[in-house]
Amino acid sequence: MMALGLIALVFLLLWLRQYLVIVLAAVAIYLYLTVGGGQVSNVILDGWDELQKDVLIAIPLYMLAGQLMAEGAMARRLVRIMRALTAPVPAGLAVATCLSCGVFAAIVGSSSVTLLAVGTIMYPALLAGGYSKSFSLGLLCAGATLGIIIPPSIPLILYGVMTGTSIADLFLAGVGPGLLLLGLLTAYSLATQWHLRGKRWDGAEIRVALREGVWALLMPVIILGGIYSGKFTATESAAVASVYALFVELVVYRKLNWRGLKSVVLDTSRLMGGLFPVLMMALSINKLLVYQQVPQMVVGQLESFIAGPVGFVLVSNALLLVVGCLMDIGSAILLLAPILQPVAESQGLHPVHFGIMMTVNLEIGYLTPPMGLNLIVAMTAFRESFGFICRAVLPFILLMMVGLIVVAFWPGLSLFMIG
Amino acid sequence: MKIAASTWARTCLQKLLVLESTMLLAAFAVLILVTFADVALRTITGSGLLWSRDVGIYANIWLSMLGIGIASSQGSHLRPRFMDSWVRAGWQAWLPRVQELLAAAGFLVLAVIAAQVVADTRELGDSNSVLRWPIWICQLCMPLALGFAAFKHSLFALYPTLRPEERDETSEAPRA
Repeated sequence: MMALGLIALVFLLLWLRQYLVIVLAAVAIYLYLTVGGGQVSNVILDGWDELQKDVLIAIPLYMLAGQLMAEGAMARRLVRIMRALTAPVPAGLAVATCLSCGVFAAIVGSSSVTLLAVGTIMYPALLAGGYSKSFSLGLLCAGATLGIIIPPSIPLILYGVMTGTSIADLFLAGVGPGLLLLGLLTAYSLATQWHLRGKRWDGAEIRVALREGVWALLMPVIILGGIYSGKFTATESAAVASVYALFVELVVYRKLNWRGLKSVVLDTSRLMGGLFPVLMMALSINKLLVYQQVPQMVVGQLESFIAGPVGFVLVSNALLLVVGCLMDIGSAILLLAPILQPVAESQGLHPVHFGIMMTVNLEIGYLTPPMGLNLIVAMTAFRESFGFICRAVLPFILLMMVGLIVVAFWPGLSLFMIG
Repeated sequence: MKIAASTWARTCLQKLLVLESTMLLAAFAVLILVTFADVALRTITGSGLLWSRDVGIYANIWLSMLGIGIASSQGSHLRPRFMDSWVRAGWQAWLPRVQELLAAAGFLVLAVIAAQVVADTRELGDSNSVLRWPIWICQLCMPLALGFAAFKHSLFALYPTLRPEERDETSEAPRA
C-alpha cells in the first residue's frame, strides 16, 4: 500500500510537470513520514551531511574549466592541431573530429559542451570537405558522448559518490572503454569515408597550429598526468584545471574578457543549481534506504529472478537503455546506481566495472529519442530537424552498442589499470 | 493595474537575481582560490592549508544552493519530460500555473524544514572543528536559497508571462 502510494505520488507530480528536485523531495518526505519515524528534518540534515564530501568540489571546477575552454580559444586551437596532424589521412577530417572529441573530452567531462565546442568548428568544415550532413551530424553527436566516459567525467564522480566507489579507480577504468569507443568511431569513419582522400602534410601549418595550441594541448596533460601520477586528487586536479583555463583564456589567448568570465561562471552555477539539489535529495533518500536495508532486500528479491552475472548484465543493460531514453544520465545515476550496484556486486561484478558499464550504457541515451540530449543540442546548434538527426545517429548507436557489449563482457578492459 | 503588478514582480525578480549572482560569484571565487592555493602551497612548500578543505566545501554548498535561484530564473531545473504529451491540449493553458504553484509549495516546504534544521544547529551550538565557525551560519544558505526559489516560483505562478522558457537540457550546458 505504501509503495503504491509512493508510485502514485511520483506519477502525479511528473504528470503535473514537476522538477526532479521537487519529486525527490516529496519522495524523501513521504519515506521519512512512513518508514523513517517521522523525522522529516532528516531530509535536509542527511543531504547536508552528504554534501560535505570534498570530491563534490570537483564538479563545479571541471564544469567551469570546460565552459571556459568552450567559450574561449582553447577548443578552436585544439581542433586546429588535430586537423593539421590528420590532413594526409583518408577521411582525415572525420578522424580529426574523433580525436578532437577525445582530447576535448579528456578536459571537460561533459558531452554537450564537447558537442558545441568541437561541432561549431568541425561541422561546417566537414560539410565543406565533402562529408554528408547525415554522417557529419551523427559523428559529432556520437563523438561528443566520449566526454562522459573519458576521464575526468562528472557522471563517474556522481556514481562514485552514490555508491562509495573510488573515483580515482573509476577514472582509471574509464580510459580503456573510452579509447575503445574512440577507436570504433575512427574505424567506422575510415571504413565509410575512405574515398575522401587527404592532402599532403603542411609542415608550416603543423608548426603554427602546435605553437598556437601548445597551451591548450597542455591541459589534458596537466589534468590526467596530475591524477594518474598521484600528484593531485581528482578535486585538486579540477582546481588546477580551472585556474589554468582561466590563466590561458584571460592572460595568454585573451579571447575572454571579464564580462564573458562572469557569464561563464553564472552559467556554471546555473548547472550546479540544477544538479546539486537533486543530488542532495537523492543522497538523503539513499541514506534512509541504506538505513532501512532496502538495497539488501532488493538484492535478495532479485537474486531469485536473475540467472547469474550474464543474466544480470543483460537485464540491467536493457533497463538502463530504456531509462537512458527517458532520463538524463545524472538523474539516472543518482536514482539507480545505489540500487543496482549492490545487486551487481552480489552477482560478482566489480563495482568499478559496473560503474563503467552503466556510464557507457547511459552514454547511448544521449543519442536516443525522445530525451537524447545531444540530439536536442545538435538540432538547436546546427538547425536540422529532430527526425533527420535521429536517423543520422542510428549507425553510431549500433556502433556504441557493440562497444557496450565489449565493455560489459570484458571486465579486463575497464579493470586492467586498477591494482 | 495588472501591468503595474507585473512590473513590480519583474523588478523584484531582477533585484533578487543580482543579489544571488553577487553572492554566487563571491562563493565561486573563494572556492577556486582556496582550493588552488592549497595545491600550490603543498607543491611549493610541502604543506598545504589545513582549513582549505572545509572552506572549499562550504563555498561549494553555498554556490550550489544559490545556483537553485539562477536555475529557477533561467528555467533550467532538471525535469523528466516523458509525460508531457499525456496532458490534454485543453489543460495546457492552466498547467504552467499549477506547475509553478506546486514548485513554489515544494521549495517553501523545503525552506521551512531547512530553517528548522538551522535553528536546531544553532541551539546545539555546533561548530566546525577546524575553522571554529558556527555551523548554522554555513547552513544559512539552504533556507535562504530555497526560500528565494519558492518566492520566484510563486511569482511565476501569479504572472505566467514572467516565467522563463524552459531549456531543452538536462545536466549540461548547451548554449547554442
